Amino acid sequence: MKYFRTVLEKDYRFFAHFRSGDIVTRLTDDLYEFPKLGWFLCSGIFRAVESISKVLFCLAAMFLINGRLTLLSLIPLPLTILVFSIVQDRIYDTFRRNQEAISDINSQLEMSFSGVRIIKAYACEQKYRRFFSDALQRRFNTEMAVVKLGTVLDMIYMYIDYIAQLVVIFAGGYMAVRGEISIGTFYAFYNYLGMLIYPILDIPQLFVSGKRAFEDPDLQEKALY
Amino acid sequence: MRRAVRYVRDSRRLFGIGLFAMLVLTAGQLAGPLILRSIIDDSIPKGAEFIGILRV
Repeated sequence: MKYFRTVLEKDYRFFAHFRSGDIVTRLTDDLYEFPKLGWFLCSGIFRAVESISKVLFCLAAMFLINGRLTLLSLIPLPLTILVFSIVQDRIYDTFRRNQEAISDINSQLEMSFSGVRIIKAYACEQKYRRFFSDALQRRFNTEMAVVKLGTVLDMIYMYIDYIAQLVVIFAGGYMAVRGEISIGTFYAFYNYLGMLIYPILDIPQLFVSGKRAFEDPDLQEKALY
Repeated sequence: MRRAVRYVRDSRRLFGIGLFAMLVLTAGQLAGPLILRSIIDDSIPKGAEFIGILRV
């Protein structure tokens, strides 16, 4: 409401500088759903708290059960951090390009419908169809890039998860056979690892989501103030 | 994070309750494997019956 009121109070220079489609995108699409601001301020923050607390509680419980096995199960952790540090900028850029493509589509639609009389009067239908087709193609490409990147990352994280599970099964199983730990301890450990893996993988992704969620308000505030 | 706090300031009471519930839920989830460990290591070797396992 505050943003809408602020937009209405702007003078003609503001509307000459920013396309209507951009403003509409800032006030609608940017504010809801994953990974937008509305999502981040509710599910995002709670998910971050849940993940961080789960990691801390699980690690504490695991260290109390068996410190050596805990350290062994954390072997794949640096790999996760490495993957995240390599791709984080790429994730951010891909989503940013996608957001710009959505904005372009909205602008094209708004421009075409509000100026339809002029388009018809000057017989520019063909030209505007081409503009829209180009914008759609850009959106398609950026959406595909987002899906591809997400799929590849999920796959990498899945294999990291498998490595951690294999380490616990082999090392924990060996320790259980030698009588260093009980079967119950081994089972509890395996369960804790299952609970620990996804929060560990989730935390870096939430940092990126937070960055992306606040990028849009940054744009809004830059535009509005 | 400071930006996020600014946005949720108006609903801080609900937000606090939510956070507390989240922490309690997470801590509760951790009890599961410990209970199972106790069942596997203590109750089953002692030949505890169903009621005995429930007591764990």
